[in-house]
Amino acid sequence: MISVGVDAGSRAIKIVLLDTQSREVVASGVVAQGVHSNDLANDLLRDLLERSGLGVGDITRTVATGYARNMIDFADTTVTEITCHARGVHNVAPEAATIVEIGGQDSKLLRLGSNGSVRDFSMNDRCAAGTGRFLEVVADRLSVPLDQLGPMAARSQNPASISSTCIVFAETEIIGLLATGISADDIVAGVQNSIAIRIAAMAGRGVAAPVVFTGGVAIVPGMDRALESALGQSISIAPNPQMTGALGAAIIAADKNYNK
Amino acid sequence: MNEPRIISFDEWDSHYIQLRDAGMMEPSYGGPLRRHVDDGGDTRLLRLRYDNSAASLRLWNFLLTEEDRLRAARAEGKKLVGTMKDLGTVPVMAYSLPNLVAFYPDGAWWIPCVMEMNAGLLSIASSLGIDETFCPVRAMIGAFVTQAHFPLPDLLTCSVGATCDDFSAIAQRLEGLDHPILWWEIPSRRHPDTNEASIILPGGFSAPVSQVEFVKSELERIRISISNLAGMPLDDKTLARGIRAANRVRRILSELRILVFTAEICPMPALEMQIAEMLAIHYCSDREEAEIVLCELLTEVRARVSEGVGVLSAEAVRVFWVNPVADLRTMNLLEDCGGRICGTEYLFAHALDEIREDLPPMEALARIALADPMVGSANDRAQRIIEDACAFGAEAVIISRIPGASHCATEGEVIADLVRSELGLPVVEIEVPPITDAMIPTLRTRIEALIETAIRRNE
Amino acid sequence: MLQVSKRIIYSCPFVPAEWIAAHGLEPSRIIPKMTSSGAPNGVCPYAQAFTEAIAEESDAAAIIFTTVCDQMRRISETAAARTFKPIFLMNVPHTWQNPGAHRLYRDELERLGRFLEKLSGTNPSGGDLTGIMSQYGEIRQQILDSRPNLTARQFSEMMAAFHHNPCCFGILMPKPTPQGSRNNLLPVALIGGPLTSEAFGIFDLIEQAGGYVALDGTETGERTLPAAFDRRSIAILRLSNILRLSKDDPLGTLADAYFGHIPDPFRRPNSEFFKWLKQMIDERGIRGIILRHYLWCDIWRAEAQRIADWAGLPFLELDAGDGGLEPSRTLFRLEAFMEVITQ
Repeated sequence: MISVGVDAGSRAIKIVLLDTQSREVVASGVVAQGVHSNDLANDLLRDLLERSGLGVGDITRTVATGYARNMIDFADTTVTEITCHARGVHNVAPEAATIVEIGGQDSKLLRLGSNGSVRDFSMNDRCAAGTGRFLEVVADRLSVPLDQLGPMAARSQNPASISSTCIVFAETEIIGLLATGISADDIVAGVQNSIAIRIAAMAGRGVAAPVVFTGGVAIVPGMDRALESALGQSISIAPNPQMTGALGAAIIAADKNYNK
Repeated sequence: MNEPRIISFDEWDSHYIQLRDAGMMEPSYGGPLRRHVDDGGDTRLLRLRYDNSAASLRLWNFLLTEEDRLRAARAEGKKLVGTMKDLGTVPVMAYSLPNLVAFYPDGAWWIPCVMEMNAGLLSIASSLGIDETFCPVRAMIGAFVTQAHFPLPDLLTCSVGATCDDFSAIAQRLEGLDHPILWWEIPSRRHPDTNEASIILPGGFSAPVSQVEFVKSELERIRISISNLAGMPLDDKTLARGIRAANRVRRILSELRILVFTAEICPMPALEMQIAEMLAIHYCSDREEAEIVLCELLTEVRARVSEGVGVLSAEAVRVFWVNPVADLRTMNLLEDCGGRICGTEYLFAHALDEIREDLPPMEALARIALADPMVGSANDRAQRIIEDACAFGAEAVIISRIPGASHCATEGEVIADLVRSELGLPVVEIEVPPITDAMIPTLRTRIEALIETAIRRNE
Repeated sequence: MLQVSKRIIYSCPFVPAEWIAAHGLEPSRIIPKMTSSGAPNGVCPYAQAFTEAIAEESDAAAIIFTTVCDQMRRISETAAARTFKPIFLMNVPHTWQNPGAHRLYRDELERLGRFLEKLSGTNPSGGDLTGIMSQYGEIRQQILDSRPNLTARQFSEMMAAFHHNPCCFGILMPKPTPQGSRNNLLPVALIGGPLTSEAFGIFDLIEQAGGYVALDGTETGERTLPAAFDRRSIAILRLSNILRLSKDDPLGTLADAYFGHIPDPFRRPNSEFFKWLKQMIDERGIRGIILRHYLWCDIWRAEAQRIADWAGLPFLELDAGDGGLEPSRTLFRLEAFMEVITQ
């Protein structure tokens, strides 16, 4: 029998199929988010089941998370991605005491208890300057593909200082920096630092180690270093960081004792 | 006299050697400007431009060695009083006693600029939840945490009430971090009601006698604490002596301001003038030396004025500047854009006014405290700005908004409207964060547009 | 009771309604609506909402501001031009640990009295004031007593309704909630600044997420009630004032009840706020704290992390920004918060 975790995020839908007994991942998949979240999730689930030689009857329980979690009609229950990311990361990195999750639309900082439960969380979904959206804006402004931002930041000798709290004004600052001859590499590094500084501000003092970095932005090269510098802590990137939310949801689905 | 010029940081290296070889007398804290970059990490200095006089070099060296003086004072057994928010009242009391040194922890708001963020003070403040939506004075809380920029004071005072919420909130967090504070109340200054006994304060404001009496009673509480700290009474005679000494500094500054702001050719750059004015609040932790530093600067300015020379062209547009800037580079920018300073209101105009010596000292201090532009209305503040701008012949006004400061959210508009309607001068409001590098093109556009407007109006 | 003739509006809980009513005027602590156009950069959205609300209060005879918040103090300057109404700015001391601060508050009440007298032509006697103190005190007690039978929203709305119109407030008890309906809900404290009218929806969202507000520590709620007047003392005070037997001071009693009692983080030091919060957390079995603050509200925002560290309870900060309460984002946070509490 399997448990299913669905993370219906702002940019992508992720699904994990978990063996309820062994807690091994049977299959996982990602599909870009669209207008009809439920249809997309259904299609992905069907595809994963098919590829794994399983059927709907093999599913014991399904938990949905992510901003579109309430649209997933085949879910038995919903749980917020705060709890799901914590469970998912705890599963792959049980030592984690702090989780930084940066997605395309928001960023979160979770402080965990010894058993992987969330003790406390901070979240930013108001200011795009602290999210992956900022990277998209700078890539667009500099006309470079997103995957080039990492190597560019790595080449920077003197990261620029971006002071604005608002992405609109930050964009103006970027134009100002370009006008004064600051290199694109330094600007990209400055933007990465700016995101990291906002995360550090959200974290407050005394971030407990080990810190695990997850979410879509974790796969952008250089962001981990920027975060390490801002937090004053070494951090590790969660394996398969895009999937930790769905994994956590699947674990919760498998956990008979979990009561919503 | 060396020909007045505005020079770069690099130029100061060779210029310093020339001045030294020509016999420049230097104080113990003297030396080339570069030492503050090499030893102190004050990297912003690399990007600033400076007046080239020996007097200005001494001013800079005095400013950038305050921490050394505080630590030396502590080593000598003197007690340190950190006077927060209050600008120019409690320091006068503290410096009246020989074994006290007052300083101004709020001054930490320039550290992120001078050290180009490398001290990490703003990050520490952010990590405590005091983020960018607060005034840059939040750097102060970082300075208390690191203890790297001033020694912890033996007594910490802070005025609250009609002050800005940013400051009050930041100071409260400081107390929450185990830095006990002696709070004292400064009420919102109001106009006297009909038939209510009133007093004209320095700056021309009026206030009810009852408010002056209240402030006096609050300052009496400070007097007791200061006396206890010093282990000797701060009696009226001692305090009167301290007031006379404070007035000597204020008189020098007053003459300096009048000379610089009214001279045909600007004899001293805006940046050095801003620093000189700051000395009036807290003396950079040495009142006697502050007097000497200012005297030297005044001598230089007198000489330049009498010879009809200066650092800018005679055509520079005369700009009145409202509020201090977190990034010192902005003052250079004004001059780059064709402007010059001809009047300032850095939120402590009352600390430049002379304290009455013909009144009982506590009464005189209470009047000065209540004349603080921040504790009154924006209208009152605007009126004083208008009078000064008029007296100094301003052709334009720049209101420099302090990011996050609660008073700036609404005050700028009130001041701008009144200046426009009463003086008909062009006004521009800008916002200046601790590091403006990325904003220089935007700031330049605004300031240049203001200057162009002022020039067109004169044609 | 004196005949009500003119309405005096304000927002600050340190303005004693009794004192206004004693002058024959109608006190009204208004609940503004969040402005749809948003506040200018740096301006607190609540201050902006209040500014717009007072411009629409055409029947108000005057507006009272206080110095509790710097932005409200400064808005008082422009309010006269916007509303063409008399404005009174009352100094409420931020310090409180010395007699001078108490004296200043009391003196400001007297000055307010002179302002009110000009509007009403009434100089209230001690008997008038104690009569109203007694009446309002009883109503407040009735509201407090009704808390167990009301939903959290009903309780807070009733409190707000009383503040909005204490002269004509009649207790219309909302239907009691079914017994045990809170059994599965987690008791939380809601603290922060004043609520705008649409912000009362947060009580519903909290219940939707699985909690209920067992302590309304917002500026609109029970936190800002003055101390209860001792009935017997007030009765004696009233009698002696009516019979002119003594020079006991009802205004002093009123000043003590407000200035000496309301815990608020703007006060310096703000230790009394923490003391009050601790007591209420223990009394009400609070499991988590929700702080709702406005963007640019320095006073609450600066204390957020300290409250979180100090309380040792799950803590959630909700930013009531320019757009007001955004239900979906708020609900998400609340749901996650309840999950944290139950883990």
